[in-house]
Amino acid sequence: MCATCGCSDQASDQVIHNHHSSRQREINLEKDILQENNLRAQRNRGYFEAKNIFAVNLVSSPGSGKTALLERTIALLDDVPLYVIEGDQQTTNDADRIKRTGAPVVQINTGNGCHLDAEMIHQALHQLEPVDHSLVFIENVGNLVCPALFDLGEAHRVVIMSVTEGEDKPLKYPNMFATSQLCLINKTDLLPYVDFDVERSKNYALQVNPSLKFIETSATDGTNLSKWCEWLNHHLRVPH
Amino acid sequence: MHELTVVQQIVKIADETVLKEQARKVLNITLEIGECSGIEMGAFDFAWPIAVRDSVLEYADLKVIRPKARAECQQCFSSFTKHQPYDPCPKCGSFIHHLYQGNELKIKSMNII
Repeated sequence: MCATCGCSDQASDQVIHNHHSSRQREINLEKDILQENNLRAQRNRGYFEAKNIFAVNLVSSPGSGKTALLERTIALLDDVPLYVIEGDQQTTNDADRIKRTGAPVVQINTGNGCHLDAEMIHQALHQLEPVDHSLVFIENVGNLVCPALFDLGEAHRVVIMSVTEGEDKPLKYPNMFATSQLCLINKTDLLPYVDFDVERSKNYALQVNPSLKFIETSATDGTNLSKWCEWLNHHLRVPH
Repeated sequence: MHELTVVQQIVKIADETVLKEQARKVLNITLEIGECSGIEMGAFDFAWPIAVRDSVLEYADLKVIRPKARAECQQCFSSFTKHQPYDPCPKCGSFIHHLYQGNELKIKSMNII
């Protein structure tokens, strides 16, 4: 009896058994390795577009001030329904901070994972059930390398760099800056105390992405947060 | 360490292909990983043996083709090889380029049995 499919010896003489075949063959796949994530991201994108939701993927290194910026943004945009998806390796600390602002939030713990993927966002959206014409912030895992490769279905990717980091971050981590549409240069209230040349950092970023836009912000003293909110409001109104 | 995720995806696609083709295992696999695809080959080579263990790829020979980053300048339309992502056009100095090669991240082919 055939051990693979259980057919009789007699049958195996008569029919062609592909699984018995020892024929070596080449399969030309030409397949995108990340196609599964890309397909799921497109599904999320379709969901956002159908509901006129503006989804923003916030990426940065750890400690750039993403959560503080979100807290301030939520307070300023009190007339817009907004939701937050928090990504961290461990803890619910960031989600707890957002919860205190009153915005619905889902925390994703990636465990050993270094990035969020489109399936995680899909699951989080099932929990959040955002209403039409709302804003969804995805705070990615603090990491300037891995999240660059994973489309989540967002409308825009916003990279946050703080003035306490090296101004050559865009050259060191070019993929993240190359795939973002807006760059927030945050913690500008600390500029008098650090050696950070804003213009030079912008020029570095423009070398890897000539169409990148910038807003210099401070979540602490509120500098230019109105400009950032204007940018968000503009994209909420204009179909993307 | 997104390279581990990438290798896990390759294992998944290989599994599906072997099942669909009613084969048993993969003898060799050819990948195309462009120099600008965001994959660090040291991390990739580290992740490979861990992720393919007990899979149809466990004993497969791995071949990786690494297309160079080739760009076309959108100002003077000359083509050139980018050695770094922040390289300007060697002819006119512009940073506005279209990268037409070097972003590849795909499985080209597999030999199965």
